[in-house]
Amino acid sequence: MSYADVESLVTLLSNGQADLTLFPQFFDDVMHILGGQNWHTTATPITFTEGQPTVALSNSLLNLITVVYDDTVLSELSLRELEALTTGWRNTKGSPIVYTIETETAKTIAVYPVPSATSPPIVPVHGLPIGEDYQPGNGIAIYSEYRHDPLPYLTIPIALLILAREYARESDHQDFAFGTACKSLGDTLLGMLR
Amino acid sequence: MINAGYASAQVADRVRDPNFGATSQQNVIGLLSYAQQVINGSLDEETGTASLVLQPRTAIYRISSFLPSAVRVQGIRDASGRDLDPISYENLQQIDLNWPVAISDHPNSFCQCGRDLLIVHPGIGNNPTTLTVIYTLLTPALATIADSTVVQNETDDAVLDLTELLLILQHRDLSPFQNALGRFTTRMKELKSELR
Repeated sequence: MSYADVESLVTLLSNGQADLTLFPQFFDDVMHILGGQNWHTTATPITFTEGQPTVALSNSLLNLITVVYDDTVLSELSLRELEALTTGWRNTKGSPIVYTIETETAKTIAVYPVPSATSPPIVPVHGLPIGEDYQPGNGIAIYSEYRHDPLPYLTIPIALLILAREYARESDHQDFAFGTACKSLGDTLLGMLR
Repeated sequence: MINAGYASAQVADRVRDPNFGATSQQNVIGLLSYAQQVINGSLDEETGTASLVLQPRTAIYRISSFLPSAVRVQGIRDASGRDLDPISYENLQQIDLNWPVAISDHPNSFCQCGRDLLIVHPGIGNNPTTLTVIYTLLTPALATIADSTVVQNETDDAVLDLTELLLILQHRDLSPFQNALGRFTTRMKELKSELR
């Protein structure tokens, strides 16, 4: 309901001026900004393939917080640090101990050493893929994600940050003073809730 | 605690719209409802409790699924009345790099990762364990004039302040905005310092 609530609030506070065809784009934009602040955190299992250093993460990922392999939290290294550690890191097999973010947009990580075994399948008997059903040799990614339905107490700040974008763009109702006031209040409320 | 009908009339008076000509009373009540959720989420004033049945070999719980009325977890108590230690997520990583699969007879600590994951450490085996979670309450929605806010009386003023700010924006009467924002932030600081 929160997406619809945000949309209704934007319509109300803009007195119907906000262009609702642009609403999804502004909503996405604000949700991506909130991603860096770890509001909508989640954890999902990830699988590793023998001899394959790269691991695909969820498409909804916005900010990666932790990666677990088997039973251990992996350390994060930059690509440069990894190259300094060993230039042949892509050809070293074993149990992964570190990960590096290759490119943000691709939502993939690379692990070192390269897994020497493929993850066994997780059978969701109990519906707890990162709990009771978890199988050693798999992994867990903890991250903040894009959500269509944000946490309900974020309805006002998200609506205000969307209004700030709506009134900053070129249109017949462009109003920088109003947009700035919306942004100011939205940021203030997010700061108070943090 | 204040009646939504009375609160909406008060805030409408503040923005010189006593007859709800610019914004209907129903919409003002809707704004009061959202405002109360933000204010309580910020001040951690009104709390709720719920039972959390620990799942075997599970350390990570999604708060919006297991505790849908929670904004933030404040404390966790086991059946014997013992409080689990609140730790930060960063500390958890330092204490135990194997925390995602660590298992014991009883949990010792808890932390939040971001705003929607609760981690209970260590996880438990197959012995059924129920914990009591104390959390900042997501205040119930206000829908009619007969509904009442649940925050304390002095906090109601902050709810009115925030609703007033939203109405100022909606009415495009930006001249009092900065003063109203200053009054609101000052009041929130005072309330936060009183609650500590």
